[in-house]
Amino acid sequence: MKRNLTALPAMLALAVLAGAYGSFFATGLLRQVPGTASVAGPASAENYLKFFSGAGQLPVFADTFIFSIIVTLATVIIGYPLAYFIARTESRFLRVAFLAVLVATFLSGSVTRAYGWMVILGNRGLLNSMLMNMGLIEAPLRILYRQLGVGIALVHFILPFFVLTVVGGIRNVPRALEEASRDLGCGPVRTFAKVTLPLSLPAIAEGMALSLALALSAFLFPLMLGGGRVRLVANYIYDQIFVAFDIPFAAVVSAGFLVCSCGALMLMMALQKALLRRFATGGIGA
Amino acid sequence: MADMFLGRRGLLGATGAMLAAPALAQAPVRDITIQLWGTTWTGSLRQVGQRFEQATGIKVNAVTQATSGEGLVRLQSMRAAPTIDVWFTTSSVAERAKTDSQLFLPLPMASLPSAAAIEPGARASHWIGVYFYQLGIVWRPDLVREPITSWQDLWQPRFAQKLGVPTMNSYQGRVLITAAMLNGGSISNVDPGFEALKRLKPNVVTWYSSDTTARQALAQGELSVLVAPPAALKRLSDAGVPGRMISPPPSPMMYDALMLVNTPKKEAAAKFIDFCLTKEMQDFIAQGQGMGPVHPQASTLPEIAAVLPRPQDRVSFDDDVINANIAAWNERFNREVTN
Repeated sequence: MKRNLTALPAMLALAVLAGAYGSFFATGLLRQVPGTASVAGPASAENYLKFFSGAGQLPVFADTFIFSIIVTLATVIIGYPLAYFIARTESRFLRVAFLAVLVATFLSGSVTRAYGWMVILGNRGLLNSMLMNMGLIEAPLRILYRQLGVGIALVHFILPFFVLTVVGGIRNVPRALEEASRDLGCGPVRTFAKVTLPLSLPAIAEGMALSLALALSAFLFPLMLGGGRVRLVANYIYDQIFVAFDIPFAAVVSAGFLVCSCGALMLMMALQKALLRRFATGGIGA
Repeated sequence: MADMFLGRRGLLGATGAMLAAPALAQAPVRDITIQLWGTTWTGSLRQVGQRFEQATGIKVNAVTQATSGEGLVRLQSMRAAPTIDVWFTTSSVAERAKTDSQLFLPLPMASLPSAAAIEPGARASHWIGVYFYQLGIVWRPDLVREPITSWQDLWQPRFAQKLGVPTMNSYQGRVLITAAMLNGGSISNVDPGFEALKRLKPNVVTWYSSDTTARQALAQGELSVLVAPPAALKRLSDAGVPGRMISPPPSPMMYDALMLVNTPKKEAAAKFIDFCLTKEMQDFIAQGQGMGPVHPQASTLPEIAAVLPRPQDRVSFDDDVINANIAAWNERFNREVTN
């Protein structure tokens, strides 16, 4: 009984969230009154049939998943060494400094950051001016207003979430295990590959799941830095609501995307379990 | 006799209530709320609000919207008890919104004495234009050597990776209709427009949906040329950057308009709408926004007046046709042009 009571707040929160999606599902059964922004009955499965026939949103779904997976992988590649350094450095000053820089990125709003990236990545931005002054390029690189620019801004946005998740995981790996590995004759690289990395895999998986979820729901950076060319699912849903005023179809796309995203995250968790079984005992390159 | 039923205290209370009732019904409205774009608020409406408060004692609060589509959906979500009394939107979205008779009121022309003076095209049953503007070509003469003289110039190879062009969402598809008209099409045959926009792709740096961001990009030199209303030219001169504009035919004309929301403050709200239409405020708004006034005697900045299109070049499009097609145009645009 007591146990049930402690679960109550969590269940309430979950009920509200589930209720929101329930209302999405129900709204999807209604129809837009043509030429207006209003919604009316009677209930029909028309929007769901339109969704499953898939002409409009399928390429957007595919683009979103591919783009999000690339962004997540880039985050892992940049974020893991950073997390490792923060977790393992002997210098308290450096650890605090790195953490402070990461946390500081949370403090600036996304719109401010998007404008910041325009200044840095633009045709006449800091990066291009620097490369041209150094004589490395003759014409400015076009980074902004395409996937590359959106990807860079998004990795920067997601990085602190990933790093702060993984730092804890690496710190939880007892140093004694790494020392034992070295005592038994393994060099630093082998110790890392056979002890530290496998034991921090669960944290990496958690960080990846969080990163993927954040990338999948990206809206502002594609809108502001994508030059109209980068359209992810959130932007597609926005268009359905605010351009087409077809709220019922937007609700169906939202519910459909939720199911797909949950599927992707469950797949990741299954992969995580398989990886753990494979590597947690023998290490990588065993 | 009454005290037999009510008792003395009850009678006193009832009498008090009867005396207070008319006062309650006419309780002065202290403030109204307007929903509008951030740039319109900072450009001129904030000061218009302050002057309205000085004149009437009614404070004007602002709620900003990123797009008028977003503004409409927000209003609909509060339909039962809207907290916004006046809504600033485009005439296209206003035509769509007016079908919601529970949310929007027909304009009480009798309470809008200043409305009679403004140009007839800016007056409709449910909305009234506050300024007009055309879609033209704004460019930076320091980055574009040879002046632009027509829409067709934009397709020249010399503009490779130089243009900012609105999406379907910005200015409700008018870029598409204009491109169609230039190539033998029309509002009812936009295929040539899509073909033309596809050919324009190598020249386009960004298809923009935010005016603010696009104008910023032009001021920074990220773009050299922007398809935009004259407000973009004003943004350049405000930033101290050289700018030029041309309004070649066909020159699509639009209004940004005010709508009256169905709230208990509708009388004060109508008073504010009327205030925006007076000649003094029309001068102030047109000059603050860098747009054209709807009051015939009002005037805008000389540099903006110089680029307003000739009357014979102006075209207006049927908003009902636009509203019926914008969703499909937007889908096709994203599928065929921006990809």
